[in-house]
Amino acid sequence: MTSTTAPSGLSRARRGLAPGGPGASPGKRKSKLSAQTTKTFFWLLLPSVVLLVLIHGYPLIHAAVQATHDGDLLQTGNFVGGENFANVLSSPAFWRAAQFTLWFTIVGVFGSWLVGLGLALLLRTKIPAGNTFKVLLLLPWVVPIVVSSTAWNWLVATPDSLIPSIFRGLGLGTPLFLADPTLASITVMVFKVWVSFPFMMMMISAALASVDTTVYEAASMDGASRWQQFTQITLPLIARSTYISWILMTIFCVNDFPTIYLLTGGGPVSATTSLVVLAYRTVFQDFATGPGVAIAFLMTMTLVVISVILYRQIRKSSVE
Amino acid sequence: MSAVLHAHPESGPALGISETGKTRRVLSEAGMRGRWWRFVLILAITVIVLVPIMVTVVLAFTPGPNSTATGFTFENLANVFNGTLAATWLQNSLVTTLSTVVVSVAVAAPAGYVLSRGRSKAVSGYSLLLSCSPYRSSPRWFRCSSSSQGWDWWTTCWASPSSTSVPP
Repeated sequence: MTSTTAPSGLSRARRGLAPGGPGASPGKRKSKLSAQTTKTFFWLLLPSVVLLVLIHGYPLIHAAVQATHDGDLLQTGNFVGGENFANVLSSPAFWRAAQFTLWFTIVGVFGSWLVGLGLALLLRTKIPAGNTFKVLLLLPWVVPIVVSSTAWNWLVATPDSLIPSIFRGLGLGTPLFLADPTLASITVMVFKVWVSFPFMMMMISAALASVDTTVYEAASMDGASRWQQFTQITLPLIARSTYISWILMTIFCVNDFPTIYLLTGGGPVSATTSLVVLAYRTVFQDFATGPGVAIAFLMTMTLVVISVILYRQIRKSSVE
Repeated sequence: MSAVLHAHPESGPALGISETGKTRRVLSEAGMRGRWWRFVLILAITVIVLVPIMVTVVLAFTPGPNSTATGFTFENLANVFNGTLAATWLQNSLVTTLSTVVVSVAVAAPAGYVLSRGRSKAVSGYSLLLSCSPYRSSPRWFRCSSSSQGWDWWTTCWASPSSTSVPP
């Protein structure tokens, strides 16, 4: 008897037919599904693309125009090509600001990461009122930077402020934290770490919460020391979160204007002038829009490179 | 009798197993001591960290240089609410915050879904572009734009939808 009914799944599979319908090959169905998915993805991404173009695209193009012109705050000026970039790159002030930005970023990122990691590990253990401490330690991140910079100013600005008075009481002299160039740089960096460590603490706490504790028990049974457990288990398991937090903190540090400007104004003698502060001064105090925007462009290019490297590192760590 | 089997390196208390085989948490003397040491340590760190914030609070309730009040006072707070437009500022902050959160979540949630599910190079590239976008020194560039005709065009467009002037 000749069968006219649809073939069974097994025989259809042997004949290379897809389970979806007669005659539909897997490839065609896959491409149809893929086309549908692509369409859905397009519509889901569209709002963010529109917003990105509107908010970032136009100012970016306008800034590119300004960076290649010798204008000021009122007019665009004449086209000068790469002259602004050349002038900026040959300026000692730019390299001094770049050096300070580099140190500020390194200390800001790794200082806050180390403090955040230490506190996250400490708060992971059972401590009385642990949750209260978690909330209290978030306050430096939550309090507006204007408020905290005022408080820090009050603490360190004059010889009669609280912290210089403590130093004097301990017989360590009267350090002028915001008047001495080196001390001012250190103070700004410490302030940045103080503001930023709660963010790192939150990120690391979230990453630590997802680590399975049985891994530690297994390692302990295998004779791993606490240090080995920390370096061989904890750090690798929070690596992805660590890279993300480093990227974000790098953004926060390099683009940080208020922390520096409100505490020291970039002084004394430009010791705490970062690239952002320099760009601001160039545009709004020297009224040289072109070089100011050129500084911002150079910063962006450098940071995009760092971003790509760290982004690849994240992808690598997630594959591993 | 309870035998301490294992003290977890990062969880503090040790696990104990009673003679009946029932697992229960037993804090050894060393564990308890360590716990209180950690408490003292975190308390000290918290106090040091919160000094600037405590200073802010103290200053808020301390009389100003031109004040006749002495000691603890609400004068500064009263001045803020009576002598300034604090209510308007608060309203502005709330409106800005709420609208930013709503728009950000509405736009970022669908995009985040695609970025997490999409495996194509286009999605990957867009993800990289998004991660780079905060690097743009936006406040400075916006200020630069706002100072010239560019931002004027923007504000005009947003202020009056009928405006069709083109950017310079």
